[in-house]
Amino acid sequence: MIPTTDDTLTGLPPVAPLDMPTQVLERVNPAGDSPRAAMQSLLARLFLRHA
Amino acid sequence: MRDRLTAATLGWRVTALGFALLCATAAAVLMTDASFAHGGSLWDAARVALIFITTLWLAWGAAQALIGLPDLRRRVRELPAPTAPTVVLLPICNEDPVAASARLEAMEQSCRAAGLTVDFAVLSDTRDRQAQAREYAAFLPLLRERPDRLRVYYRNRTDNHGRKAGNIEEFIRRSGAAWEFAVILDADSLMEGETIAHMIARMMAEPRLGLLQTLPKIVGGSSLFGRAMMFAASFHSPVFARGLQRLQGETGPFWGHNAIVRVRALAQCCGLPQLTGPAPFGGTILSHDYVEAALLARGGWRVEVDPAIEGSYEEGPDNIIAYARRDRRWCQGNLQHIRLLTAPGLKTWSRFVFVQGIAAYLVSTLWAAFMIASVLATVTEPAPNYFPEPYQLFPVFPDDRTREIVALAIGIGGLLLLPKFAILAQAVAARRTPGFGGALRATAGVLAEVVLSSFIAPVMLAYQTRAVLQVLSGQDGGWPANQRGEGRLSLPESIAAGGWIALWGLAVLLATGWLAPALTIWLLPVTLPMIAAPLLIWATSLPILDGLFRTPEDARPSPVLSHYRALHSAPSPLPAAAAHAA
Repeated sequence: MIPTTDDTLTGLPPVAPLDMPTQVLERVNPAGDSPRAAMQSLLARLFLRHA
Repeated sequence: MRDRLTAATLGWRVTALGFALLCATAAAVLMTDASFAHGGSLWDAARVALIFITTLWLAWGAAQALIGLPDLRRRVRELPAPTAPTVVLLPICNEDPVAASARLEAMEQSCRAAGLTVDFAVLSDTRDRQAQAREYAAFLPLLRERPDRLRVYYRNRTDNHGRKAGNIEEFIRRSGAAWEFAVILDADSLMEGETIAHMIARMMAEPRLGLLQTLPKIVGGSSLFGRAMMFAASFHSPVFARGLQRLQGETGPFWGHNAIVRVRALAQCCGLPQLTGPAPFGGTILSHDYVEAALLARGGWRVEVDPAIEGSYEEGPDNIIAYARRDRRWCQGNLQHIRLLTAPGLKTWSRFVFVQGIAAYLVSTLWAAFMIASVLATVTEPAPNYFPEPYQLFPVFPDDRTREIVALAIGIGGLLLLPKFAILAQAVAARRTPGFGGALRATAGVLAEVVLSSFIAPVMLAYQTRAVLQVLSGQDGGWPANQRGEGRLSLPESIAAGGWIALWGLAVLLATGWLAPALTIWLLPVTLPMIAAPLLIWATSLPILDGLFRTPEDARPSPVLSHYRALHSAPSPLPAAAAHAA
């Protein structure tokens, strides 16, 4: 049987998993990618601020 | 951790940039002089701008080589015994399992011979069931625990998320904590045990060093193309890499393999995200190595390349088609970095490295644009007016600007050739040529490589221009498997791969002859090799005797290389189908 990542046949040492945080590489627009989504978010924030 | 930009690194950078700007300005001035002698048009302005950018790129490459010429040996420091727990990672996906296992066996024995205790882990991403079975069967004899052998692990990943970077990432997350360092290899990598020991010791001695990259020598080429690449990599690359080392300083490169990394640093900094949007610009990061180097530097770790480390090898493409296929993937990977230029927190030099990678591919398109602009500028040039004054007795002949154009051509040719001949002179002076068969044979090799690359360059320009246009128009090239080993092509295969280049070359030649006959002769060095592309692709894939492009590895093969060849040429215990699986 071929050892896979789903089993323990690999014989790899049992160690505590390492934390490998996913890095931020893009300046993410919290409103999403499209200009429309950005506009909607802006309007929502304006509305909420003045509500 | 504090970022340290040494005065030496800054000095090298200013020198290289100054040299490149000087050359580019000189080229632009000559072109302006020639183009605007009789007025000038928008096309003339375009070609001045294009010659500035393309010359800047050429001169930057030349500066890198010239900076690498002085062989300033660094102080050899006392290194500790290489005792830190280290794993050698071999990520594979649809590779020839017999060759891959032979390489691993050769390295395992080389490590033992060096008195080094490391573990090996084969990280398979192969999906085809039959190929998986053949692969596992090939590695199985190495997996059994024996007191006289180093430990070898094997696992097949059930989820291929993130390709090679994802494969390593999965291993680091799950099992990385068991080791301090990881030597990352490619399926065609070979490294001497002594080399691995030296790298572990270096990492132990320098706690801020996150990644140490070697300059792998290309081995295994048998064709004219493959051996020319081997020669260039062995003769020229160490000097170019030394220049790169001086320019990059502590913000060095990672080329994805034949390098050692600090597991903790990799885990801390290099969890790669999927980029938003679809491929080719979104999705999995293709050229992950450049990004990982930038992320390690962002995290405060030093990333260094050391071309002086010997005993590091890889195989290269053995024909133009295999090279172009790999280049298509690299093109997409580098252009994808456009998305990352504004990534938060990166060091300025890391962003500049991304720009260099992008420029390396865009520049082909710019050369093509320069040629088109030159033809259009000539076509749209108004007819000379011999009698500009109403009552003029003698005609006024237009100034002949051939001298400026010839000076420009010589300058550009010089930038292409100067580094190679300077490296030849340095090699003779430093007595580096005996490994290449002596000074005469090395000179013949350099000349033959220059001639060959002059013929091949327009063909590569065509492939790269097509690749750039494909990527910019949103076509995803995917991740085709590397084709290693035999590179011999048939003529029909060569025509199928290069026929379109021949047709374009012929079309450009005929159009130039019709629209701007004066330019025809200037474009011949580009159009003739393009027309001959199928023939070039075929001829350069043929095997040659090893007399011409001799390298030190031919005369005195490294022990790990000899051992691998012996193992690989031995009768395979696997069925014939497994031996030929790729």
